[in-house]
Amino acid sequence: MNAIETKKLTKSYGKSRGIMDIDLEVKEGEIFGFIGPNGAGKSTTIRTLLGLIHKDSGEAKIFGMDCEGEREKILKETGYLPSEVFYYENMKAIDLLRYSASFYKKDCSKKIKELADALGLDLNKKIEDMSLGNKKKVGIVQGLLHSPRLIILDEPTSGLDPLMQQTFFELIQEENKRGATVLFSSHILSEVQKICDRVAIIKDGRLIQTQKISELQDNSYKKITFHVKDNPLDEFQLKGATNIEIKGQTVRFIYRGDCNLLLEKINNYPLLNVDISEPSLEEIFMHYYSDKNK
Amino acid sequence: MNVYLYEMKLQIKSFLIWSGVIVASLFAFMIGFYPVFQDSLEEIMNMIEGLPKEYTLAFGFEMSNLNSYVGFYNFTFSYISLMGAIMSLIMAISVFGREKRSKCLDFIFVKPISRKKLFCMKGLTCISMTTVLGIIYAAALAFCYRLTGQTGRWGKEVLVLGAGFYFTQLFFIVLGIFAVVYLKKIRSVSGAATSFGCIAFILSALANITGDKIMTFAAPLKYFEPDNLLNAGKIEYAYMAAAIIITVVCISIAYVRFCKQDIHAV
Repeated sequence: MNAIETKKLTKSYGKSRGIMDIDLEVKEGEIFGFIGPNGAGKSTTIRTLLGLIHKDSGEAKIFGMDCEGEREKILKETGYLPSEVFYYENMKAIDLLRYSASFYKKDCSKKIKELADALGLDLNKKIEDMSLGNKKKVGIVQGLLHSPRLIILDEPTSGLDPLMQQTFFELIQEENKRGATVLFSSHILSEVQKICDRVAIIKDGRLIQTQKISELQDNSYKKITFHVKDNPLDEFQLKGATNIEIKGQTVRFIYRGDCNLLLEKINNYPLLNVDISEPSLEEIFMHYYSDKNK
Repeated sequence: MNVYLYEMKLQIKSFLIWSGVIVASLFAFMIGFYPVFQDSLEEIMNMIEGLPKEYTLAFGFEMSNLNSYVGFYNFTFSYISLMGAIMSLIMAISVFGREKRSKCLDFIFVKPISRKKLFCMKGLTCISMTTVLGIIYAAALAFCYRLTGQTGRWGKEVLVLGAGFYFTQLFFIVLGIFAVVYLKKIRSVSGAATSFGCIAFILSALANITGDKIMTFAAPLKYFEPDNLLNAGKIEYAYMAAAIIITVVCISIAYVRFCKQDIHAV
């Protein structure tokens, strides 16, 4: 059974864009990445799945249940971590977590303690006195305390330092081993690549494609910038290089192909500096579009 | 019931303070000031007569009535009902606007509880507290009646006047709920509640100054005014009917909006 299934899911906000005809299938037990630039429609999709906003048309189901009609049953099995966490004023973390647990009608105290220990969270501190990172930890605990079957994460790592991000990924992977399905929304491709099995790419409210992470990695793009000494370059050509920009002594392009051929080629120039980095998601999308338009 | 218990816990302090202030004010006016007022009735009347008429009307000094216990209570009620209205507005805005104010609507709306139930639990919190205060208020009023030696139909009067205070509070709770589901941001609960309360008081003052019966329909603090309740004629029943209609319409609209509105990211 699919944990999440949407068919032609559409939501618009008057004149501004929302999401259009989203067909999504997340299998039970997988960690599914959902990537797209800011404003692409990731949060709108997630909020529609959670019943926070109402769809205009189409279908949205979680564990075979309708997201609007059987919202309560779905939410019993779902944990959610929003990108920005806000909680009640004047409340200690432990009080918020106990209140959160009271909705699930099961004893969550052991899980709360385990998660807080793993994240190094002081439960007796007032939430408003906490740093952004610690507030996020409270969010993680409250999203996982009832051992949900489905975990929905919307840009979950913002505010967490790299070490804590690693701990967070380990927690999510443990939950996944326990049997939980994870929907992981992000605009950072590399973090999705770390833990996801498959990924869906959304842009301008439309799902561009869904593919396995392994396939995405095979097709991995690199952003290359190099500067040459002495004379400016007139032209640069290399198989697999696109979006080539030459400005005086600087050359920029996006490359997909054999690294050895790339290094061999640029080694022919009197180099001053070379920078090889991950392209932004926007740059990858441009390639998806240019590939599709060809 | 977890939402109900949680809201009760968070509201109890404010409830106790406001209830204490209201009951203490009732005692101060009806046990403390009333006998003094009666002893110096002539001097006070002379002083009031020296004030501009609009001023005395706006602040509820109804000359012909002030010498009777109910008349004095009518004057007292102008202020106690204002306090009750502000208390109700604070309660409704706090309880129903708690998540909006803390920007944690996402937290509560992704919990496995229907929006209908959430609305009812929060509403029940407000009704429970108002009912408890209503009973305490009626008991306090009965105490005032007995202590100042009022006789006659005091039992019935206490019930009717206590009910007037109770329904005034319920009306303002509904108004508060209606406002909170439409307000985009709530910066200060007490600020918003006091503003609404003051507007209601100004509308009452305007209705008093103009003496226009139709104007009273726009003055909710006067819908359950003691004089209207004890000497109800056609127009007074119409005020009460207006209160009931406004209450039903506002709560129905607020309920539908609460249950149907989209919760956008902060």
